[in-house]
Amino acid sequence: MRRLSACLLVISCLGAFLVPALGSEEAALERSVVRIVNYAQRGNWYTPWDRSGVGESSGTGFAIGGGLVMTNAHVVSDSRALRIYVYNDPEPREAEVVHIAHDSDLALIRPVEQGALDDLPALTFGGMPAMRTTVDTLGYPAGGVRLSSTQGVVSRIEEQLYMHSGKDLHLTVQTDAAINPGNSGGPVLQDGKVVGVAFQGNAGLENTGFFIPMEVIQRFLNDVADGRYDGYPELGAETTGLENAAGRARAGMKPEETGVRVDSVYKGSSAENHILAGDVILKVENRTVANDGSVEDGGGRISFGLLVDRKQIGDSVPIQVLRDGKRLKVDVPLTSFPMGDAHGHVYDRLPRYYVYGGLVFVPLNLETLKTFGGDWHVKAGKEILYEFLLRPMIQPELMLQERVVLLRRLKHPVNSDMAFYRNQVLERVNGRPITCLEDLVETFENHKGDFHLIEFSNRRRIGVINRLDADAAHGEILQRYGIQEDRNL
Amino acid sequence: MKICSMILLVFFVCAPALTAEEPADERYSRSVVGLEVTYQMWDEDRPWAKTTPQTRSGSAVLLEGSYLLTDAQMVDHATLIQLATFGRSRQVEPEIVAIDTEVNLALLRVNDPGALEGLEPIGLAAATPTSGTVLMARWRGQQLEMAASRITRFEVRRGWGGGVEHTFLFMRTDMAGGGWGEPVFESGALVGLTVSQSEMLSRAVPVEILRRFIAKATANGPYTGFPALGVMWQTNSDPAVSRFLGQEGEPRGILIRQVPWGTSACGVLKPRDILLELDGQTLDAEGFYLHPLFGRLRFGQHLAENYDLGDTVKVRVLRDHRELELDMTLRGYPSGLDLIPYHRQGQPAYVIAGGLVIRELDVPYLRTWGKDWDKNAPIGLLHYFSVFREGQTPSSRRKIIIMMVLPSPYNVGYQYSRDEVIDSINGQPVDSIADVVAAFKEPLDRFHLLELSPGSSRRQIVLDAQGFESATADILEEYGIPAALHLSDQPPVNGDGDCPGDY
Repeated sequence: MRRLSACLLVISCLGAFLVPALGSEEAALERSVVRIVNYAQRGNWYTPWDRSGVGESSGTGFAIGGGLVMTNAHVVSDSRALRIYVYNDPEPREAEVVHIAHDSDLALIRPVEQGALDDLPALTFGGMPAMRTTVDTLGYPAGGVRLSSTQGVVSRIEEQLYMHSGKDLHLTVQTDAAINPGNSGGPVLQDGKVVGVAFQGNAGLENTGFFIPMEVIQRFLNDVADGRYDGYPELGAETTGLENAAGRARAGMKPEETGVRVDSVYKGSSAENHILAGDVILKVENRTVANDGSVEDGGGRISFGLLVDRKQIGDSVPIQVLRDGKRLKVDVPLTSFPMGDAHGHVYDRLPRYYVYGGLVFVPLNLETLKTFGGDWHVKAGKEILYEFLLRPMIQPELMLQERVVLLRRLKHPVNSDMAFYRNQVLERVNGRPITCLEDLVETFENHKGDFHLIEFSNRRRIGVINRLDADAAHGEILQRYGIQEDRNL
Repeated sequence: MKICSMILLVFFVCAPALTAEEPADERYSRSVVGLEVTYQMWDEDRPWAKTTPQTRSGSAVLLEGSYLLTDAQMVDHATLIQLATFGRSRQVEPEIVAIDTEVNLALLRVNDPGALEGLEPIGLAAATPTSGTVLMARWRGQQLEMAASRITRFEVRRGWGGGVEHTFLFMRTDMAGGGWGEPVFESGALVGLTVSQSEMLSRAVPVEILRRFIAKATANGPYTGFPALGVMWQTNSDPAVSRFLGQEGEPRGILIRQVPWGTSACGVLKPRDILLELDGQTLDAEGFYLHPLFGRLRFGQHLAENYDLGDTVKVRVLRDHRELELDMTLRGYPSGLDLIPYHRQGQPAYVIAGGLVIRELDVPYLRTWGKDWDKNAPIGLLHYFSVFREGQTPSSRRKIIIMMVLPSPYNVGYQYSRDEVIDSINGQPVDSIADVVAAFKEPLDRFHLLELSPGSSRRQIVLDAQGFESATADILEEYGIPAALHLSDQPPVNGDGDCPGDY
């Protein structure tokens, strides 16, 4: 408690100090930087026909002109009601999401009432701040209604995981300005210009915060310029470093050459048919790739993957590879890689499911695994972990499919003798390979035999359900367990 | 039930008779022996080294022929075994006759009869009582501690090794910290030997299994072990499944799922068979049969109690809607037949190659992830054990892993390859450390090429073949490692039978 009040004191002193220093510019900032309150409701991946409770959370946003407010995707995700509070204005404005990018944690929102916030002074964008320079973070941390400002030094510029999606790596900037819940979506300013959007902290590091740099913001704005957000292209090649001279020599590289080895290429990705496993990537966009996979960029080094990150879907990237002793230049047309989505958190979508004979079927994805709890890596059964994490690497064609899990059963006489009814991944039903939830629905609805035969993916386990009994009990099971719809596809 | 009450009656009649002759503790004190075992485990993280020696104490029981019976865990990794009775240790080192890690029993023999002076062997009971109270005994200083133990149930479980199943005698005991080879007596005879205890619930191997173990251990020739069916099966209690497979009436028998290579069932049973009868014993849908003494038990007990390896039994199955009678020759299920062995005797098999520490994957290594190793060990290794427990195939006998890299300029860039499975070395698949050593003798051109399994942090490691030997020598020197190589003490047990496609 004492520490908290001391902190608050420091922040309010800082505020008092800043106001006279910044004068009228500060007054304008206060109107540009808004507080956003989101009433969010998510699906429930354990009882997928249900929704969870409604949560209230608040974040920050800033006007960028044209009535648009920029913020983080995680501030406005799963929104059922969204409100914008302008500084010193007691009237909240109902708002709606215009564009949301879960992969880069950015969003644009606007008031429902057209033109209602057109008078907010728009902030202008700057560039990448230099290392060790000072930046200001503005926002409404910890749910406060007064604007707070903290100052920090740019301490590191590095590729990092964006926690919101849980699977995307992009450039981030680390500062020692505290970034707390509520700061999210707030502008990071240098010389009065926006150089980033505050978005996440790191529980393992004290007094650090991270912001999304202009490079990522600008890419987002370019992407939505056509009125639609398409997302990031993915190369889809797994590479490893060639720090060891023997590895380079065997690959046939000249002593002065550097690069990385392509270990595997994902099916259905941009790289498929353009880049092959075993290739050595020598250059990307004419920049020499070092043995650790980095390229020179504006005086620093970044991973070559970030060059692809800067592109839009539909662009292509020139890559020089060494293949069978020949140096080839390939232009890889870039596409998205939706198959990777199973490994990210899901937002703004309700869970897909199908209930038949009291058996609850869902896709195998991160949300399904999370029903085991935050430490699902440990808590989830080894078989389902193997199916989720490892088997698609061993059998790459599985990457192109939606795997389906028998999540559990709603106990009823038609299924009460089943031996396996929990967290079992399906291989085939009635002899038909199951490559998505729709396959399963199709076979359960159209199979004419007396029994449905369910073959699970491990150890040749089987389950059988009596078709006529299950069909007859269908409505009753749904009613007994309070399920409105037997499916959401 | 009738048998039960008869035995109860016998018990009540006998117990006072014994007391009248001689107090029970004096009689038993001449047959119970304390064991002080010094043992030293191999350091699984540094397979060239042993860990600090430790001691454990437990019990054994003296049998006819100067044999001592104890549990296998007692003498696991033993460097010295000492006997103690009446609070005094005896200057004798018994010889190990047989260890069976499946049923968790060990038979020792004292070759100097003088060392057993004052002791008296005890006989085996004709049968294990099915209810009532028995006595667990062990030495505590100069006193023989005798604890009343009430029989609660008989249940078939997998033994220590996980391959062979047999029944255990469960007792609610007054003895704290038991489960280390304490003999269990009743009416002046041995009825069981404890192998584990959880709080006050003790588990003992009953005399029916002890008797067979002693017979196998004292027979001529090498010790052969207990038979097991060795299949993966599921219960057949779901009428929908049984109807689907063509069974009329109430479901009975068990549904065979997988038939691992080298097991009794290999080449006889097939996936989707319903196993109805095992040598005349009918199995219910949960795999239970009627034991003449203990009531309903899982079928593993029938095999363990009545047969030896090589015996032939008749099995009746429902296959493709037809009943068939087949002959099955019984085999064991030694730990060595598992792809990832649960036990290993002796030193881990390993080789240090250019700083890469390469070893055979086994459960003792997985245990280095601590008490919850079966949750915490990396899925890339664990899945071979917990997802594919079914065993080896002729083409995949063991998994060979890089457990770590000892960093040096020679292997720079590969230091993050840790706990990853090697698919091949120089184009040759590797199933043992001997294979690894042989593969490194045949470099491809001027390089050693290691391909690692999907899911590894890198899929390929290339080493310079010319500098390989000298780099390895330098690394051994730098890290103070006494030997670059240890080949397996137990080459993989050869499986038998022909059942491709069934595992």
